[in-house]
Amino acid sequence: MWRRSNAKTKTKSCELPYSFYHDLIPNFWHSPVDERERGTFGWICTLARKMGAKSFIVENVIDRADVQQEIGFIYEHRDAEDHTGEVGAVAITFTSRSAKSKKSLSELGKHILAQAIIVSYPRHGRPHSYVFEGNVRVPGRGKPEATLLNNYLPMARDLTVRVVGTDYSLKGIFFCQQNGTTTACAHSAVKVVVHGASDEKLSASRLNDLLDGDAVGGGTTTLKLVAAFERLGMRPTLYDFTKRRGGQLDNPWTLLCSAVEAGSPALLIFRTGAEQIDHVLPILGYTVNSDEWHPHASDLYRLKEEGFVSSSEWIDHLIINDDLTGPLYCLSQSWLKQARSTKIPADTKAKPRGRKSAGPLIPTAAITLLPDQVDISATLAENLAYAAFQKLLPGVDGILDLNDRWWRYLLDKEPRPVFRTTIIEKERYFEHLSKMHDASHSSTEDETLGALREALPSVFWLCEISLPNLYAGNRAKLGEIFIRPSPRKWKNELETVKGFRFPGVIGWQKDGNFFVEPCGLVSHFRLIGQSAQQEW
Amino acid sequence: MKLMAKRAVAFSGKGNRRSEVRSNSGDVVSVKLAPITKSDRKIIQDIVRWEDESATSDLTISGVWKSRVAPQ
Repeated sequence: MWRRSNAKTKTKSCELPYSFYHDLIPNFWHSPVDERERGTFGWICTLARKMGAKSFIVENVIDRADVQQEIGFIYEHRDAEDHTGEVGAVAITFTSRSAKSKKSLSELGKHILAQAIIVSYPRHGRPHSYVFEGNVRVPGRGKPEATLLNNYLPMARDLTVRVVGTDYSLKGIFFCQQNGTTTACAHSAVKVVVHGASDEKLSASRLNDLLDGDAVGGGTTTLKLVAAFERLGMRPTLYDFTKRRGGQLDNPWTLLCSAVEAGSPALLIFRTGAEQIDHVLPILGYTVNSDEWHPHASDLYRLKEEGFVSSSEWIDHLIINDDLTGPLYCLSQSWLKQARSTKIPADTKAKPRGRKSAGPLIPTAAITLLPDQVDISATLAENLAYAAFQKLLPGVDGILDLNDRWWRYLLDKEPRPVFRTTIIEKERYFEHLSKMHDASHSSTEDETLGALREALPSVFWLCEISLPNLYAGNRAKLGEIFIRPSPRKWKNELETVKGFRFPGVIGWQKDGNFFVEPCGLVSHFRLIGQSAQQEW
Repeated sequence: MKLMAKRAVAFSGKGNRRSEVRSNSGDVVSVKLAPITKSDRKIIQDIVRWEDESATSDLTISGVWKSRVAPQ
């Protein structure tokens, strides 16, 4: 049997010169003292430091029901050599409140920066620690708290954090780490994504059932991951980057950015170059650099063939959890683009060609999760919208005499448009449309909006149309094309367009035709969706 | 609404040439849209094919983490 270690509840100051390295981590992290082995908790400490942590609270949580369940499952699956040793669980909560504060604990909620629940147990004959669960506030600093510039976190949720018997709420990111005994990276990734979608925290036992077997010892496969999400009532779409699209390997960056910007949870699966370890990361958000050069220059220098620019080209980092290194890291696109230069063997079990040591990440697959009944992907919707855009513009010009300046600019100058594609519910779009209507002080006929409402399905792809400088400077758009969510079969690609709005005109599809009507929305308007609180 | 119905933009026609229908007063009341370009259609078909093929890909995810510190 394992002995229980019982930490005492205490609050300690961690203002400098207090050292997390030397004063905190060795006391509660019982794996060997190695920077890599304790990466997750070390990184949570670093995030807390960056957010201005002044104190932390340590409490023993070994009797919490979910911790007990976790430890019991580990004990069932322990190695034979590990029948004795010490087991413990502590919650360490970092706050921006001084340890000397005399204010009531009821005000603690607004000061909580992060919490890590560390479980320690005997593994391979020595103590082993991991972050069972972690919660980190959306990063920011100062009073009032300023969030990070151009950071977008669609997967941030209202989290409940229990500290000394009281539940507090904060907006942040959920994290968990594999323990190597009952969970591997696939378990962690599924747990984070499911929590983001439904607030449910799946136990290790349930995760193993969902992944259909011994995912720790034997690994898992992409189809088992897909099946797990389907059993949870989600709609996963699998993308295989080892297969060629149109004769060439696809760029995973565009696909992943489109998914995350559309608000779809996504998983990136990659292989490390040197040791052939496959790993899975959940993608939580992205950062935008509106001063990015290539979306503007690619047309001038003929750097790409596509006739439009995807808004994902301004995304310079994906924000991820890596269950081996910690939460809320930024993954640069250079790491995945480098991977494209390394040939991916058709046989995924074969060794990759290229450098053997310190190789780049080799993206092999991605899984995105869409709402039920959505069969057309974001990438497909965006390309369908662009193809239709080129035909609808002159078509409308042939039937309506529109002379507003933005309409004429689109038609006469033929600028390379920017497309931003997100999935949206009909009612939410009409709320957005009514705001545009009010702001423009124009009179859009109720009958036109009624006809558009009738033509649109309850959920659809919203492909917002902008221009490079308008997107970068104003985060604004000139119109939208609405693409149906399903089915994926069509005789004519234009069938998938359920409606559109360009400057001064609204159109909708009915009985195999498009009907158009002038409207008063002739200028640009703010893009829909989550905005970073701090933007440039 | 009747006016809108007269402004139908049909997309079911074949060929690249846009055909117009005019009212008695000479106003264009409907035009036929040309199909999307061949290059756009190829891009779309490539995406569809790739997504369909990907749906059955069963790639292994070893997920094995090798500790850099040897067990005692």
